[in-house]
Amino acid sequence: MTHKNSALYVAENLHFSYEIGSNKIEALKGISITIPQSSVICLAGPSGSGKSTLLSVLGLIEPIQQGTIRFNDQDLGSLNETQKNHLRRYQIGFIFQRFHLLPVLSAQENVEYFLARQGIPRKERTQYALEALESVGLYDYRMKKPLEMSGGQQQRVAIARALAKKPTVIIADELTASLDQNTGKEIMSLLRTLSEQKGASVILASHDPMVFGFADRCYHIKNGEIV
Amino acid sequence: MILFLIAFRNLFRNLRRTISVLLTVTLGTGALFCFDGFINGVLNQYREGTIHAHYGHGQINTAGYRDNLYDTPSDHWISNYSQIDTFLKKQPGVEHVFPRINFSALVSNGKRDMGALGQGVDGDAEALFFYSLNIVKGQTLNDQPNGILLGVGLAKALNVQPGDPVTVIASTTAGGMSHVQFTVTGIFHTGTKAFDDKIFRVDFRQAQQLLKTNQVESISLGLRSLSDWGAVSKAVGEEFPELEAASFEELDTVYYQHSVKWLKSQFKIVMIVILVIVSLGIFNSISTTVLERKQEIGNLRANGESSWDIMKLLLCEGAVIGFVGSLMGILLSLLVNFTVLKNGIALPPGPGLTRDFIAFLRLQPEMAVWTLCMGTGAAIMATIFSGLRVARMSIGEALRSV
Repeated sequence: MTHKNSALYVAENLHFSYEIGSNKIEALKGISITIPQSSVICLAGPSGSGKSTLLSVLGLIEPIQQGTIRFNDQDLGSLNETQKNHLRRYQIGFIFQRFHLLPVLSAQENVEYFLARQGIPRKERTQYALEALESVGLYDYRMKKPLEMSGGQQQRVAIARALAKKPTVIIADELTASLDQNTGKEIMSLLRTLSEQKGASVILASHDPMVFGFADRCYHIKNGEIV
Repeated sequence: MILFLIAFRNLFRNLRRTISVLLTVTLGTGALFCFDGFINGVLNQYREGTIHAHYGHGQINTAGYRDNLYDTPSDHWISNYSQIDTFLKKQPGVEHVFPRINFSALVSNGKRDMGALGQGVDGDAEALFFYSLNIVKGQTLNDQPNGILLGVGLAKALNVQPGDPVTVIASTTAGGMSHVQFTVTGIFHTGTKAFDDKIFRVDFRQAQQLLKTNQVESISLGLRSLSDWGAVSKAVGEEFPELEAASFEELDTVYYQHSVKWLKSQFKIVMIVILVIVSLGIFNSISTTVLERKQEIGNLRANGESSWDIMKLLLCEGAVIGFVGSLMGILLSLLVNFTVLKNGIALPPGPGLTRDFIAFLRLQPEMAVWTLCMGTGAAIMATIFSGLRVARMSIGEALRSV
């Protein structure tokens, strides 16, 4: 049972830096943020503001260099690599700007792949995959390979793939950047509806104002800080 | 299972790249397989050439005869040849029994006497088995009465031609002198001048008559197959403890054994060079393939796959490419062997031999298995080296890569 007001993420004083050549870039400068359960949160800001980095740190794609993150009251900083893998596999669904679908698998197989890796039996995972594809309106395209689909359709498959995992949170980075305005709206509307139906939180990073309207809350990030 | 599915489908993902990697593996493993077949073919032909040129598959003497020098060697010759001959011909695997006598003699053309080394052989039987004897003029010893074959140098010194008479004078085993008149049937050479200046061959029965003995010095054997040698030599040792049997390899240490070791060492070096080139080719191709997929790997890692899961996926692909490529390499080798090389490869005479020979590729099943393992193993190793870096890369770095 999830409660919209209970906290899914509590991040405090997050710092993150990386080096490009001899330059040290401070991408996050002491960000603290609380993300409630079953909510759609948008991280807005210009390119290079640090929103993608924050998403990556929250999604355990990048390490927690400084600060703390609690996820469902669990300290993420104390997890070892295996526990992080487990969390990413079962509780976090990712949607990337460039979709990152496996080109050799059909839409259905792409959705099923991570379910198979979760150890879900074939019959159930096929059912989940087909349900997820149906929910994004791609049931008829289930046998198509990514390269046989449009960008919008590929993004829907990526969404279906993230949803089918039944994650606690979906992390989406520049979800609409590769899509035209109408398709972007359609995708956002779909994600919003599915989030409400499935009870999953959604954290989006975007600099597209259209996206903001679909979020419960929007955080503006600039130069690595929430403003 | 899904790993194998992805690995297999990835073969068709970038067909040109896959063909390039497969060709690298195919040609590399094909070269390895063919080269091993060539080595086996050469050594096999060399072994057969040695067997049919000198000793047969092996030789029987009285125990210790080959290792000792005697004042009167004939005291240590084999006296019960008929009994042994009967025994040997009953042994499975024995196809030919060749009695032999070596002795010193003078060969005279009536005007000039030359010191010579005589070989008493069963000319009729040996003509068939020892087919590599080089007859320069006339014909080999068959069933001609009082026929003699002369080494080319000896014939030249005596100024005789086939059909000319010569007299052979020798000490009998009892110490007296004896002589027999022969007619030159042919002139031969062995490739060794010192030998060709001294050697002659007569029928062993006439050699026995000349030496006034019914003994033979040694018995050479022609077997159905070299693999029969162990059983035959064991049977001889058990039945006749006073005799000892030595294989042609023991008898021909200087030429055969040393040559084989020498050739094998050379082949091993060439084999290693081929293996290194093949491995580098495979490594290069697979590295490129893996590095192109960093983002995809980053996505898999982001969704919970561990570095080891990624390595398993890559290893599956490497193994599939290695296995399929190696299999194609083996099939290609077989195809080449049965078409382009069906008539063999002409090679010059091996060490100690006098005749050119044709080497055929001897492609053996165990080598096919070894090649399959090597090709697949090299592809897996190349995948490990190129995949480790990507699999261990941080997820963020992998996703950001272009």
